Amino acid sequence: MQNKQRITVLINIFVCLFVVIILRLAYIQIVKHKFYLQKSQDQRTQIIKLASQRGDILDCQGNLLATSIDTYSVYEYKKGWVERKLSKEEAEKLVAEKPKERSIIRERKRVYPNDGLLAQTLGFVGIDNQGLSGLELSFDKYLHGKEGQVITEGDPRGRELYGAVRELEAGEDGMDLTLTIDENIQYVAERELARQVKESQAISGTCIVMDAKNGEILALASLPGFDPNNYGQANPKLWHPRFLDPYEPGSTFKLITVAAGLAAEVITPDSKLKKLESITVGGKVIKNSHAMNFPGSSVTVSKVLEQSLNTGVAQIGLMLGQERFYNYLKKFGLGEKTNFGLWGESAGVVRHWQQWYKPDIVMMTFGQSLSVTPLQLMQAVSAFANQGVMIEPILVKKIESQDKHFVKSLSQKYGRQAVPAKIADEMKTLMRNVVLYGSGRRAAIKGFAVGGKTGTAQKAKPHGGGYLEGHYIASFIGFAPLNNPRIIALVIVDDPRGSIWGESVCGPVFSRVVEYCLRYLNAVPDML
Amino acid sequence: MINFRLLKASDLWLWLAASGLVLFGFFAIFSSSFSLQMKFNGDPLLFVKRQFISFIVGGLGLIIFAYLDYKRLKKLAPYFYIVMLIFLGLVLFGGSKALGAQRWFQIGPFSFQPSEVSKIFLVIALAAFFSVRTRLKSIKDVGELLAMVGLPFLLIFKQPDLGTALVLGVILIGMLAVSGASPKLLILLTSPIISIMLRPFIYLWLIYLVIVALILFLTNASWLDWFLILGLNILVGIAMPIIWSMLKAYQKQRILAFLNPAADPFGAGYHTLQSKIAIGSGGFWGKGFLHGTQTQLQFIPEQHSDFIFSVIGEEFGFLGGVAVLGLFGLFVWRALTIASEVPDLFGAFLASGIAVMTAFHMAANIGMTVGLLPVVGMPLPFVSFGGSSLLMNMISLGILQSLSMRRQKLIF
Repeated sequence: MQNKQRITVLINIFVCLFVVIILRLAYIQIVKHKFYLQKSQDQRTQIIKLASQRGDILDCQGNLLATSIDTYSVYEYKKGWVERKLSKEEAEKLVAEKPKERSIIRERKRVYPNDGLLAQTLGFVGIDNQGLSGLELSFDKYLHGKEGQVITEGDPRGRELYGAVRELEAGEDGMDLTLTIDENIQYVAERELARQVKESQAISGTCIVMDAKNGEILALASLPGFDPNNYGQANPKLWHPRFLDPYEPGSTFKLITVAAGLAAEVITPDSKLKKLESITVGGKVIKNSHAMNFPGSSVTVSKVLEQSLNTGVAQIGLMLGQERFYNYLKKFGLGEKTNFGLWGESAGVVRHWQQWYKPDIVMMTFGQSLSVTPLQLMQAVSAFANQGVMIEPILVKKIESQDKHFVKSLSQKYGRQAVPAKIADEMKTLMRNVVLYGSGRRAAIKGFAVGGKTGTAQKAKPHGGGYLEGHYIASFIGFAPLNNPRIIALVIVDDPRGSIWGESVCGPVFSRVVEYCLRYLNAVPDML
Repeated sequence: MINFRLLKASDLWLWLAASGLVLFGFFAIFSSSFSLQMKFNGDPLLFVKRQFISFIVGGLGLIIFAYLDYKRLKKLAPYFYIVMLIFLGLVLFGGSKALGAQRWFQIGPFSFQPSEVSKIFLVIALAAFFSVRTRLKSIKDVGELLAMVGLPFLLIFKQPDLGTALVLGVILIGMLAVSGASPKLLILLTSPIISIMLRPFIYLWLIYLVIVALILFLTNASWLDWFLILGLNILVGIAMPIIWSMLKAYQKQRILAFLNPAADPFGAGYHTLQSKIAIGSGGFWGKGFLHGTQTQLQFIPEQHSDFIFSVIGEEFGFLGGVAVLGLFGLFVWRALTIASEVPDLFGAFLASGIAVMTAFHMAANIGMTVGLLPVVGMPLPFVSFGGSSLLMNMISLGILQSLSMRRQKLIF
């Protein structure tokens, strides 16, 4: 019967089917068994990261400048993060939309309780709490701690297998950073600077306040700032701490020139210099910024500083000569980093004297043709407040682990003698005269003797090749009280409109900020 | 009353094969579902209990069809067929939707899938048809036959349920083969499938067409054969891209994933890859009952239904897999033996139809879990979780036993 033949054919086909499937099973389960076993082990092994707690950043009084809070993130199976760092209510709402696929994971979020205060110095962290800028980046190694992890067996949704093998690697919480910054002084410095930057319609401003004795930075204002809690909304250019960048200091630098001249004994405080309208060096004509409306045919060193005479310091430079002048610049630590601790600090540009162009020797005497950072300038000027010993500016006071087992105190390591003590005292008097009789009058503080120097520098073109017409950097540097200096401060306003002079733009800011500091620190008035 | 004399004549091997498979099913269903249930504080036995209720309902179906003289089915066939069409039509309008398809009727906590049960009704209808017209003699016969299969095929394809629609096609071809249809007709029906599979590789497809033409030439085929066979092959080749564009996105994805499962391990290829990892990591001996990490960690979603074989492969290893295959082999072998021993053509067609259907299910389902065939929704008979499927298979078993019990009647 034909049907039976056909059934036999069917049986043969079925036998083939069975053989094919059994061979395939044997291939997968016996030949490739190890391969698939490895795969199954790999994909059920789960590494659960135990986030470490990031250390806090505190001011010198222990006030919180940066800390972390609990937030709630929503994770979707196979898709990844839905949204991170939400409030508990927001997270629960998102999970309720797809309760089977989504789950909540608790994460720490970095917050800056004072919003924009000290923003560029503090910096900020990324979504995974990694430091991205400022102290958060520079001290990430300490702040971040070490993530722990649990290696376990889990399912594709991240649930752990019951009775799974567990391996635990303990993590470590991050360390707290205590800064030298005082929240109150910082606030006042930012407030006063902001007022001036606004009034002068300037691009930016910097105000640094340093303890004259130990180099501790009490305030580090840099405006315009941003809110590190919402750093993504700010122009990325504002993230960078501007006080780490070099600038041409202008006339404030005359202090260095005069100190070098005194130390090299090419001048004394009583020396008479020629009263010149202009001086020509290497084909370059150097003029004063103001007309000399005072009698006499010569000028004293004190007058040169009081009136900020370019032609006066130019003569000192020429008396010193390139090599000697250069060596003093080095003694003042110019052209090298200050060891401040923040990443991105510039060393400034002080070319070797053999590479100087002819006019450079005089240009540099009034702070052009070279560049320094505000911190370098403060460090250099601190020598005059401390018997000739330079004080390194420091920002971080203490690094401390949560369990207090690790404590690293960072204090002034050594002071370099830039000039002899006698020269420093002479400089004090000269700086005092600037504020009493010269261009620094508006920096005076009632009850305290103040020494300082103004500066109004031409702005160099960003990519070299001369100076910008009509654009200036106004500044003032000084310290008080004169006899026993407690505070050194530097105020810089970049590109002011209206009045461009260091005296009128920066003098009042200096006066108000330093006065607040002195009263805040209970300094004893030395001038009645 | 239970007729023990009849029961004695039932096929013991068939009983053994089917109960072995159902038992494997219960163990595998429990293993694949209890841990997830426990995690959500559910009843760890929930799926086993539900499958047991299906088993009781299926048992009723089995008893009814075993005690019913199979010859009566021949007269009942048209009614079954009409009821089947009504159900398939109704589900399209009033059924429950899930995963882009409309396949179920929801009855309280239970769902009923008419397309599953339609398979056995089509076997009965075809057996009735072939037993009257042993040879297809006229275009009218072919037309009737195509209409008979085509109607439910289209209704199921519309749901859409590609797997079940395929099963209907395979049942038709298998029963045609047993009925003694001419080889040319079988070629006419099967060669377009090869044509579709080769179509994406245009040169291979052209070579294939040349080979078909050569065979037609060597067998002195009539001009009608030339026209039908070659024409149909070319036609499906041209129509394929058009049909492809009509497929649902998930169907396309599954076919593409089959061609290269590693390309998208978390997408459509995920099932195939995870199933292969489960079975492969089981090795020769298996990881042991309830100890399959792939299964317990739910790497394969809905593993208790279509991917139940991966549970067996992982926890019971190669040995368990071969045991399941052996039970299927036993089942199909007994079905074909009964087919060749029953005295009438209707019975023979009935038994061989069930054999073809079961074997195809088994091959397609296991083939998909071991990565030999694309993922199409097709349960593993007797083993997979699912009431409609279990009911259909137990009715099939009842019909086979009815055949077995009555095959030696003439000898008495």
